[in-house]
Amino acid sequence: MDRKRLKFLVLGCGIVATMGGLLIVGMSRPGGVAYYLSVSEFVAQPERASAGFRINGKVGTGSIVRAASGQDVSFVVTDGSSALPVRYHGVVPDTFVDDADVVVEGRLGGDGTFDAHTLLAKCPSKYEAALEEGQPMPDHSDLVPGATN
Amino acid sequence: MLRDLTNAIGHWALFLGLLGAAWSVVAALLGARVRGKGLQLSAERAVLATWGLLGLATACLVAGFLADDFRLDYVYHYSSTSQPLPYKIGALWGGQAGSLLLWVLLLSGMACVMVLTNRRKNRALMPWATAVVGATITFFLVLLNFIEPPFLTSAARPDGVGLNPQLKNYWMMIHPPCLYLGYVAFTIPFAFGIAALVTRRTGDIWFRTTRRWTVFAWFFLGTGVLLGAYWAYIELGWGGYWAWDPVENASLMPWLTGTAFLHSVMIQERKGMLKVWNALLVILTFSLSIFGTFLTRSGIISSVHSFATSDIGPAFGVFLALVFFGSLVLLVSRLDNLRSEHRLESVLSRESSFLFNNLILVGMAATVLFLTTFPMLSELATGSKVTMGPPIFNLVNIPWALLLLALVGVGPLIAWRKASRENLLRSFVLPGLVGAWILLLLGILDARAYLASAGALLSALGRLDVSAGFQEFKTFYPAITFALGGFVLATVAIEFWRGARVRVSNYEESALVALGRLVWRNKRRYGGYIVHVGVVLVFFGVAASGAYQIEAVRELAPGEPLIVDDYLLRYDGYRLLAEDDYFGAVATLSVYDSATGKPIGTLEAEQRYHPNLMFPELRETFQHVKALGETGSPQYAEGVAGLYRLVTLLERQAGREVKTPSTEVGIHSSLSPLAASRFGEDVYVIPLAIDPATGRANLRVFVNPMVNFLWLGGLVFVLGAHLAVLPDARERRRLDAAIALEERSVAVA
Repeated sequence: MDRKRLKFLVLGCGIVATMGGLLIVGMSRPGGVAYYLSVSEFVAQPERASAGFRINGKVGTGSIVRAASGQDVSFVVTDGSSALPVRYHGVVPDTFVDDADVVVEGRLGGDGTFDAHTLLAKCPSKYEAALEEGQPMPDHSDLVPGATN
Repeated sequence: MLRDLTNAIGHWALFLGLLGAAWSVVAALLGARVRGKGLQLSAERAVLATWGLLGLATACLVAGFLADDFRLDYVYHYSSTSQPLPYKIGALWGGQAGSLLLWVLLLSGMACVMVLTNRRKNRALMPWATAVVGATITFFLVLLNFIEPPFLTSAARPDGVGLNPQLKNYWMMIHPPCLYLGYVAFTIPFAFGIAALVTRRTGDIWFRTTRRWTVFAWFFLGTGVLLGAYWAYIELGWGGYWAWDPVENASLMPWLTGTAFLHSVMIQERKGMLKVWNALLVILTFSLSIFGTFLTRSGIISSVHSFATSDIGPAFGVFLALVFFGSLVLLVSRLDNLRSEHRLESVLSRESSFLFNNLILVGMAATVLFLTTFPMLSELATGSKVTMGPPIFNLVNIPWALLLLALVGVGPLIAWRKASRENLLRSFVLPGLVGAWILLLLGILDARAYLASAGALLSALGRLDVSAGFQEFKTFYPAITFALGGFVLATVAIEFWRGARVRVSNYEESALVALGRLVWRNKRRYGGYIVHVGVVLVFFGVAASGAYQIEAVRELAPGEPLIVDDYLLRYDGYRLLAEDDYFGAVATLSVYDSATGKPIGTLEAEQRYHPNLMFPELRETFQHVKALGETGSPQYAEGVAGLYRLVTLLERQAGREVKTPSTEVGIHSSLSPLAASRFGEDVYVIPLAIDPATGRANLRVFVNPMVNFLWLGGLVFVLGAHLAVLPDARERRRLDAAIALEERSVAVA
């Protein structure tokens, strides 16, 4: 192999190798990598307090408690068989509603509540039926002036 | 019933379309084997007929939306009676089946253009190209007929669910079709590439013929990516625009390899080199386009953007594997025909600068692919899913993007074969000085921060802690970006200046006329330079808004001020409203210069709630309050406040939320050149909460410096790409000459 080709080979391999090197550096750094689990898998995980986790599930219907600040929210994430209380501080996405698919990323706090630093939510595509059939409809015309029923 | 009829017509048009597409493949393949002109003609007519049938099917589905035919499941899920007309039409691509339908309609439309523009050209390539495009159409029609049919009906329903509120946005309406145009149009260059490999006509005809297709696809994909970023910026309300989400990555990857392809074909045109590489790039780009559609649509990697999940995953996997591995096998079997005509002579040459640009672009696409699919890979390997966060993407990609930026300046000016000393001096001394001055200036302006980081960087390197070193190196990224950007802009300016000067002296034209004619006569080249300018502006926007963003969160009562950076914001007041299908509160803010107190502008931020209208009393009260607003009743505001109370009460009773929030951020962009220090800067206000009774508002405020350079750069990119895609007499002559040469050599052989 002549010197010119060698030069190109070295440069090309250099680019590829540094890219790989950067990847390894990035992946070995704490914070970027997270284990991705369902709620049940997380609850069954023995070392769940040790590392960063990314957990997916659904928002437990009726569990959302929104603080007046608008950027603190607590709720329960569930996958049907297990449930996990979650605390989150930050911009709450508009898609975060009852029964929405969510992904929370963070770590388990000392009180057993999951402290999330990231909250991703995907809107459920349907509203469920509002009330059970046959239930009497409550009257709330007092709340709105001039409402007639 | 008319509606039954149109649904049936749509259903059967899709099925006949499948038959038509399948026939176009069979006839084209038979035509290629036995050289039957009649069969090839039949295949091309089948392509045209398929397009007509798909157009009919799409029209039937749109008719379903316009007529509010909620028996159609698809219409029920993505539309409702209260949905405004543009969103009823846009809801066509709000879900899975409609997106696939739009995809395949666009593809068959492009197939028609391909057939019609090549009636008298490329007759040896056309049967194979028709077969490849036809097979892709057939695949999508199989999905639409058997796995994801859009014309499923159920019992009649009074109203539909409606489109996801976040998708009800002007940009969101044009963003998906734009991306689809990009994804789809890459099919044509791919089809010609495959045709060239099969027929062993591996000269430069296949990509010269499809050059404008490639630019078209690449342009729409790039625009689609930027529109998606813009939508995220103004709609998702977290103050940013890019989060390395799988779906974002899916659209970025084929754009990166497509960019590499656009550049590397120039080397094959000029020097007959990189033939294997070019074929590989077009295969990669098309495969990544299919993979992108697959990732977006299958939900295999969880993403906030994948608005649909379904059973099309396995089918896509099979198709993708066939496309990718089939093409690779074909490529390997044709290696003999793809021998390079020249060798690389010097590292300092245009060939090698393009080669390195390609290596970086493909390397970035590969890293993004690796990191995006890592959850899947790690699950296969170890059984546990591991995800990669945005910091890793940034860590790996930013250094390479900066090197790429440098090559944007070097590539167009460095000499072919081997750059001489004179060439290097003549081309790069001045731009190099511009870059160096910018670096020096920025270094002096922010000397303390840079010195501190440099010290920390050295000590980290001393400890051999590469990771910490990179953390410190981040401080320098913006300065490096601006210096390299200045370097690139200077090279482009020099190119324009030199070209125009030659015209001025040769043709005695005025400077402006010379500049105009220079660009018009070399649209491909100068269009490319203009795109480079756009890319530099995008780099500026990303670097400054990423590094120098300022954030504040504060609860304000009406009338209270807030100082952020060099802005003074006053919360003027709020008003309550109920419109369309939402109620909410609008906060009005005035923006002043904090030093001089001069008014700069006003902005409005809005907190909306879409009530769940399935609750009868909520629906009735909402309609009532809305009517109060329409008649201008003084009780309107009190009525909206009542809606808030009703929602709270209902939520307590039902034990769940009965509203869907949607936040409209308030943005004030400084675009006046008079305020140069703020040019391109945004004040970005997210209303976290607005109390309907007192008006106390919790606001999150960002100052995003230079973020508008991103969108301005996008506009410049659009301009340049338009120029490059216009018909160009010079390119046409080159293509004709190449075709004539090829025909002669085939005749001799």
